[in-house]
Amino acid sequence: MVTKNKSWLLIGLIGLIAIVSISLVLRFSNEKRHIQKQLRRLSDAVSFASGEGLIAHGLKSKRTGELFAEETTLSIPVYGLTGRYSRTEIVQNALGAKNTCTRLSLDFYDLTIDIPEPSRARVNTTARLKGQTISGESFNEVRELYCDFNKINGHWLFTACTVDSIITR
Amino acid sequence: MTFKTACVGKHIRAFLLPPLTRRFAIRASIIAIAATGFFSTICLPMKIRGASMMPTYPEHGFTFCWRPAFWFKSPRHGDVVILRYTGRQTALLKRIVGLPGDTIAFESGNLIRNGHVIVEPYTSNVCDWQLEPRVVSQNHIYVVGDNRTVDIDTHMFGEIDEKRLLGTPLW
Repeated sequence: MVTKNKSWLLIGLIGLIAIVSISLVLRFSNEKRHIQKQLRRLSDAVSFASGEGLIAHGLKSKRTGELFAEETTLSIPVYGLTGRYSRTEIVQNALGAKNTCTRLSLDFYDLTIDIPEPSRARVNTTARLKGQTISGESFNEVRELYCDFNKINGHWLFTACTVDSIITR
Repeated sequence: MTFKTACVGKHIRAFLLPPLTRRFAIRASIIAIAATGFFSTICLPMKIRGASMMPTYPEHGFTFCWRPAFWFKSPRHGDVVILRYTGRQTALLKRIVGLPGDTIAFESGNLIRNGHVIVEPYTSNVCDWQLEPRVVSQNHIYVVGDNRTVDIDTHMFGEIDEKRLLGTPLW
C-alpha cells in the first residue's frame, strides 16, 4: 500500500515537473516571438521604397518611437550616436536619416534571444542596412547588433542598442 | 541483335521512367526529403562571387560548404573557411591566418605572425600591405583573402567571431 502510494506520488511529481517545464518553454518561446515581432516592426518602420510620401515617412518614424523605452542608451559611433536618447530624439534622428535617402531597407539575420529574467532580454543579431542616398550613392552596410529589451507595460521595448563591426582589422 | 537492343532499351526506359507505383512514390519522397535535409543543413551549395580569394578560387565559381568540418576539430592556421555574414544568404570565403592570442601584422606585404614571417604559397602576387601588430581576441579568428593585389583599404579582412564559422569549402 505504501509502495503504491509512493509510486503515485512519484508519477504526480514527474507530471508536475513536466507541466511546469512545458509551460515555461511555451512562455519563453512566446516571449521570444514578441521580441522577434518588435524587430520586424523596426524593420518595417525604417524601410521604405523610392517614391514613398512624406506623410508615410512621418507615420513610420512615429511608429519607430513606439518601439523604444522613454530613454534608450545608444552606442552607434559609426553614425555619431552615443549616449542616452529620448523617444523624440530617436524619432527625429530616424526621420533625419531617412530624409537623406531615396530608398532604405533594414533586415535582420542570425537572431539570438536570451531572456535571463522575465522582464529583461538580450538580443544579438546581424543587421543589414541597404539603400541609396539622395546623391545617388548606393550603400550596403552589415553590422552586429547587441540590444537590451525590457518588458514595460506588457510591451518589449528597446532600452539599449550597441552597433559593432562584424570584421575588425 | 535487334531483340538484344530492344531489351536494353526497355531496361533503360524502366530505370529512367519507372512505373508510378505507390512504392516508387514513397521511395522518391524519402530521397527528396533526405536530399533537401542534406543540402540545407550539412552540405550547402554556394556561389562564389568576388575576387578576394584569387588565385585559389576564381572570381565566379561554385562550391559546397561542408558544415561538419568544425564539429569535432578546431580551426587551424591556413584553413580556408566559410563565415556567416548576413545569415546564410551571404557568406565570406577567407583563409585563417591567426588564432586567439596570435599577434598579426603585415610588413611590406609579408604576413607576420607572432614575430615570424609566414611563407604563403597560396598568394602568387607581391603586395605592399602594411598593418600594425594586433593581438587576436579570445573566441575570434583572424581571416584574410588570398588576393593581396587589391588595395588594403578595399579588402575585407580582420578579426571575426568564431561563432560565425559556417564550414569549409568542399574543394
